[in-house]
Amino acid sequence: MQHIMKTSKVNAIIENRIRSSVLYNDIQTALEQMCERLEIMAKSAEAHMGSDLSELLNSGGKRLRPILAFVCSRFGEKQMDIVPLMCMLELMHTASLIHDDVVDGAVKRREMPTINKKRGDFAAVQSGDYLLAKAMELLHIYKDTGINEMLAEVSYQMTVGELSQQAVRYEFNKQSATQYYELINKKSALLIAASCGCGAIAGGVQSAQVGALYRYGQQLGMAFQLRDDLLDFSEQTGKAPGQDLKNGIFTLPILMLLESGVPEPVHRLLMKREKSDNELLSLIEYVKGAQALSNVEDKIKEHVAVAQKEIDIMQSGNEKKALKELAESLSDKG
Amino acid sequence: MISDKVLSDDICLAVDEGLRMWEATMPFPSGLISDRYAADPMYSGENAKALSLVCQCFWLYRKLHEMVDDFPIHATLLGDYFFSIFSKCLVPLDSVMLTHEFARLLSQDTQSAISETDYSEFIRGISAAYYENQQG
Repeated sequence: MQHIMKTSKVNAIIENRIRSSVLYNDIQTALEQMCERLEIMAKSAEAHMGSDLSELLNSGGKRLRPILAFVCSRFGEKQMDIVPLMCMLELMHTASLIHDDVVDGAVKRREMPTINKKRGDFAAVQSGDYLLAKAMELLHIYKDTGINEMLAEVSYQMTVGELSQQAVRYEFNKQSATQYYELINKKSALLIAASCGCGAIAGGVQSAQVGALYRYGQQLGMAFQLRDDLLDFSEQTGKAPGQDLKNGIFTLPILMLLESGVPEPVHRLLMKREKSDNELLSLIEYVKGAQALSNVEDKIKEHVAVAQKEIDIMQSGNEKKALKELAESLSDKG
Repeated sequence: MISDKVLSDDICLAVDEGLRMWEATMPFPSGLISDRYAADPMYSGENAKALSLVCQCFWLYRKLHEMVDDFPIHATLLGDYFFSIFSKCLVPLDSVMLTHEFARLLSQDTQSAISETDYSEFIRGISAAYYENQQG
């Protein structure tokens, strides 16, 4: 529930910004077409798998990746059908969420029981794999464009990121800020980058500008993940904070503190594998008191600024405005 | 000399690394093909090794995802890893036929598991079709 709530909070920030965009109606039309196709794909699975997938795909995800692909495609003049790409991105992302839930032993996602909770780990993993099969069916549409190559590379980097994180879970001496950046880049930012880059390619955007939009997406993704990780130190979600810490992962606030030095009792507590709820709370309070969170807010602002600068070369218009405002929304604490 | 324009050293290293991680974290099922290349040796045209790697990585991916009840973390993550290598090898082969056939097979396997015999037949069939297309 903690993970769902904090992700929903960041998604709410983004959704509010999208709703106020002049592109909102066009985005909604494309999303509706995407959802229709996803529903057909989900329902083509047999028995429980079909209903589980349909339920998850319709459960309120904010479609950030397909929306970015759509907006970025609009910078070009020779536009391919963007809806299949939007479907592919949403399918890849949803498959990764299903598999993440198995790896994390999560019991709820978006306020619903996870597939692994309902049906077991094997059924959940197969459900995610079914979505990947559906994504593969669409690859031929973007043959010879570079889109499939970009998505395949991102998929590989995401799995490397997940394996790397798993290897250092609870190995606190092996976690550093540099590795953390690399990790969130692979696990999170690159798919958002690819959403922008592939959308631009599908739109017929020139290659220099495709690169700029890709890098915009990458910076946006970093800011998005940092904002998401900050929420783990907040009671705003209504749940106990510190779940990343409890699961053996040091996120940036902790890593920055460690690199600047902490008192020995705090260090010992951080390195303790099993932490009680009270110990987690005391660590959270220490992090807040040490201004670590505001340091991460500064990092978010840096990424947002870089993201906005990347798209300075794009032509002015509603699309550029929408992307700049979307990045800006992540600077807000929300 | 077999030309294999799509197969890079990085891919081969990635496969070796995946197999190393598997052996370090989970039992390696007996009878599983240990040789990296699983394609039918009759076919030795261009991209033969890449096609073999596609077939091998797909099979490793599916075998790993069969093991998730016993090893939920490692089997899920390593299976995804081999799927991603499979994709990286498949895309440059630039074959709509191959992509569709593997998509169809994956859909089927997620709902009712295919046997090793069925998979061997599948590989023979797609290898033949792929090389026929190449020569066509």
